[in-house]
Amino acid sequence: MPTKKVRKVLLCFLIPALLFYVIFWVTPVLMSFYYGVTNWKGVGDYDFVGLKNYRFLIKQGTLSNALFNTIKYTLFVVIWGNLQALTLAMILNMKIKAKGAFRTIFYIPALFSTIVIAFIWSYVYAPYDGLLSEIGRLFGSGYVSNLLGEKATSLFATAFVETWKTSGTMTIIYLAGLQNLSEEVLESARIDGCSAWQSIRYVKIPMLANTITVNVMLGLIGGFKSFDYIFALTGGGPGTSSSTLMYTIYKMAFVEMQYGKAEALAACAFVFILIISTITLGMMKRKELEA
Amino acid sequence: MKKSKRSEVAVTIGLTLFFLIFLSPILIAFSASFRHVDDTSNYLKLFQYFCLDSYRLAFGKLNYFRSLKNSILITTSSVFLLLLFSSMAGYAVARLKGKLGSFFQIFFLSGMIVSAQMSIIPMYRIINGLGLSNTRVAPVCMYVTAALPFSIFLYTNFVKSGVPYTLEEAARIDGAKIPYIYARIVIPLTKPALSSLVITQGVPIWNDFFFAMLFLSSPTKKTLPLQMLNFIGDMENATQWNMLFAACMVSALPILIIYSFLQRYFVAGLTVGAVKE
Repeated sequence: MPTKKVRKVLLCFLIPALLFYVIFWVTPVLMSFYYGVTNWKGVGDYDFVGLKNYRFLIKQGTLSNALFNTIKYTLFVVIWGNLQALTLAMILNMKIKAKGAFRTIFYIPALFSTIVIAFIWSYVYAPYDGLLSEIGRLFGSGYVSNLLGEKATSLFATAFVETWKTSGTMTIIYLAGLQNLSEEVLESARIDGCSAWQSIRYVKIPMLANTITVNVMLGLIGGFKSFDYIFALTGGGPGTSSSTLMYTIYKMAFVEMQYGKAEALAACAFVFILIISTITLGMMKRKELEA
Repeated sequence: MKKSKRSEVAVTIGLTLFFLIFLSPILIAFSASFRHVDDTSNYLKLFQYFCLDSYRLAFGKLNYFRSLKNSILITTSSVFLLLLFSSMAGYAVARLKGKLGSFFQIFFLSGMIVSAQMSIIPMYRIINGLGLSNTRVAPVCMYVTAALPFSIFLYTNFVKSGVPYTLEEAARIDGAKIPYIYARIVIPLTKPALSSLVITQGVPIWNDFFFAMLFLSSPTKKTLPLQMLNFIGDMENATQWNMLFAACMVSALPILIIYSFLQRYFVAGLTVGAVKE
């Protein structure tokens, strides 16, 4: 146990981080909870309106729309992102000479700025001249891609870009997890007559529990905070079909000047993210202990 | 033996094909950036031209070297402060045993729930109130703060598992003070965690446009990703694509160069704390 004097010095060590964190992170959040019960427009005077903003968000369907879009986006990023990364990591983990080169190349998209990635993918998705349409023409199908312009697909098309960018990171993390598995356990599974699939399902995946937790949490955070690609690729549209929580908050605050309502939505987002991440983390930790 | 050789070749060919398709958007953008500015004919015909006109235009529109300087300035100062603050705080949290330690750990970690979009206007007002609006200091403050929760979490765990407490105790018996122990024992032993923070937090800071967009209005202070926003209108205009792609390439160039030299550290940095030893 550190002595009293040591504890005092340690508390001093906390000061710089604490100052920044409280001034630029905690205070703004508390202030926005407060603005959430006012009719502030971002400038000028305002009145206290109680829970009116919350009622508005529920009645207009803004809350449920933003919430469901965020859930759909997040589920796509978590499930597709992890499946893709785990599969690729298992393939890369085989004895291939070019493994290092593949891993190097694979990480490249993760280095690009989201705004650059959004520009490049806006070309891929562009109607008529874009890559997908071009490929359609190549096969003579006359296909015109409009994935970003259609309500049914715009959200998933943006979520796909997110998984495309993060797949390198997730795969590298899985690869490190796989390389860390004990050779002896895998060997004994082989001797006991496990098929390739059985050894993946009953040996490798349980032993990867810790790595899976990390990647699932990465996907969850990326999904909940999804903003950049929606901002740059769809502007939340068409209509509000790709408006996630963060994008809706941003749009209400900055474009529509409904600051009070935006902050009420932010408070809902805060509670939602808190609940989901606590539950998920708890669940994954239990699985890790079982494994 | 022969059979496994053949399957290795097959897997390698399969992976090569997969990666070609996977990276095709970047490849095509790279090839198109070398075309004549208004040549929008079939982009699938790769690398048929070599012309630097698009780059010339993109350099001008990005105001490249000025933006590059701003990006370097802002990123390096943010990362430096982040390393300093999070290592100090992370070390303190790891060694403050008992309730106080776990309180601070949860207090900082809970910041990860918050996303900047949730409280932009209060952030804006605080920055204004401190007289920092439209200075390069404003985004630096926000980058450091936004990265603190994860960084402190990672650093605390690294100290707990990687720095033997007995070593510190021995140093203290020899008369060493806490600042000395921090600088001479803890920092050298936590280099992997620090380099991991440089990679996992530095790259997103370098690439961020959001805080820069909020707080930097004068053109002389804009960073590279923020300058890229100037091209947002060109996205739907196919005749501007070649220049847009050239801008994409030059704005990614600095980090690609760094990556090509320090690749080893990138891979190692990603997996610190993610994989249990």
